[in-house]
Amino acid sequence: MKSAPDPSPPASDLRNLCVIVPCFNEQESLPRLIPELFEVGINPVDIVVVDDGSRDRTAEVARAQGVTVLKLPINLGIGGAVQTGYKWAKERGYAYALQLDGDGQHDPKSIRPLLEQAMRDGNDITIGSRFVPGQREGFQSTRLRRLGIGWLSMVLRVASGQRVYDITSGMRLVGVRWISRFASHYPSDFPEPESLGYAIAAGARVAEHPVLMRMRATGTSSIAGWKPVYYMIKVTIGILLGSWQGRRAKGSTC
Amino acid sequence: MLRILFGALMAVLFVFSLRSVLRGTLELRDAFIWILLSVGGLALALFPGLMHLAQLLGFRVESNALLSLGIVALLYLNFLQANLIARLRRDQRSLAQSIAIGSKK
Repeated sequence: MKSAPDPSPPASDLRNLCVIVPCFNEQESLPRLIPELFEVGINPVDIVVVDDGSRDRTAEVARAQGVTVLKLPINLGIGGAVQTGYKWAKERGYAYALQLDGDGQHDPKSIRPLLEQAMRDGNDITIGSRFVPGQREGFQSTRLRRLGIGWLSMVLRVASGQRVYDITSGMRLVGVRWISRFASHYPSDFPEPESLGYAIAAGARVAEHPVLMRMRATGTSSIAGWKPVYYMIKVTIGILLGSWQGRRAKGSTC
Repeated sequence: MLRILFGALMAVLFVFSLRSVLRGTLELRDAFIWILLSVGGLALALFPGLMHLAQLLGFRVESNALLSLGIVALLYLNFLQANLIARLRRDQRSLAQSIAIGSKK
């Protein structure tokens, strides 16, 4: 009788994975998040905490856990911080890089299934998604935010031709080809939708995998007050321009 | 009277731009556009006949032409500065990332 295949990828695959954790003032959430990453089998050296000019003890807290800490001398914003991680992953020759928010909203238990799907399907980018139809579980965000995400998802579909349900997800697994491209080209603020527009239009194979998202353990969202209005307009334009840039990049490499 | 005031303003701008370069607070390439604008403005103040050219551009009143030219010049300068800031921000981002990554080597 044939035995069922092991659903977990072998340990060697996790050794080719760099986990990028962009952080700004996350000293409260890291002591919980980093042990969870150890629990799923990620080596401390493969966890890269990018301290984006925090004013608290984020870097010290991360170092105390034995992980790699890249301390930015000034605050660059999420895009600059994540790109630092991709540059690091590129220099170190990782086959995969996974970006994960430092606030602990993403469950590290989703990493193995994400990696498994990416390897099986040969995805360039695999998004940890809250909104895959028929598989919605966990924290789904507020109704207004879901409406906004739905709009952006539609814009992306029109601009790039592919539907992505959780376009703003900060949990993404990226393969070696796109580690290199993100290392040299990555948007600054609210970068996830814009970079997706660019990647899909440039020919990246992008897929979603359902993940559980938890309520934020500590801190507050950076998109508050009047920012949602700016966010929606800026990101809409960003997706359109990103897709256009992606098509041009695809055309120039063909 | 307005012409004298405008000429005086342009002269002040010209002197201020040159002095900034001589004192080293601005590089010549940064002050160049201001020097050019102030010389142009001075020429218009000293030779008002030049403003008749405005009618060739379709302006009925010369002061409207001056105002429009001023707005266009300021928009252009603003755009130049936005470009410069974007370039500096890109360089700053790249530099900060190199420092962060370099400190781990």
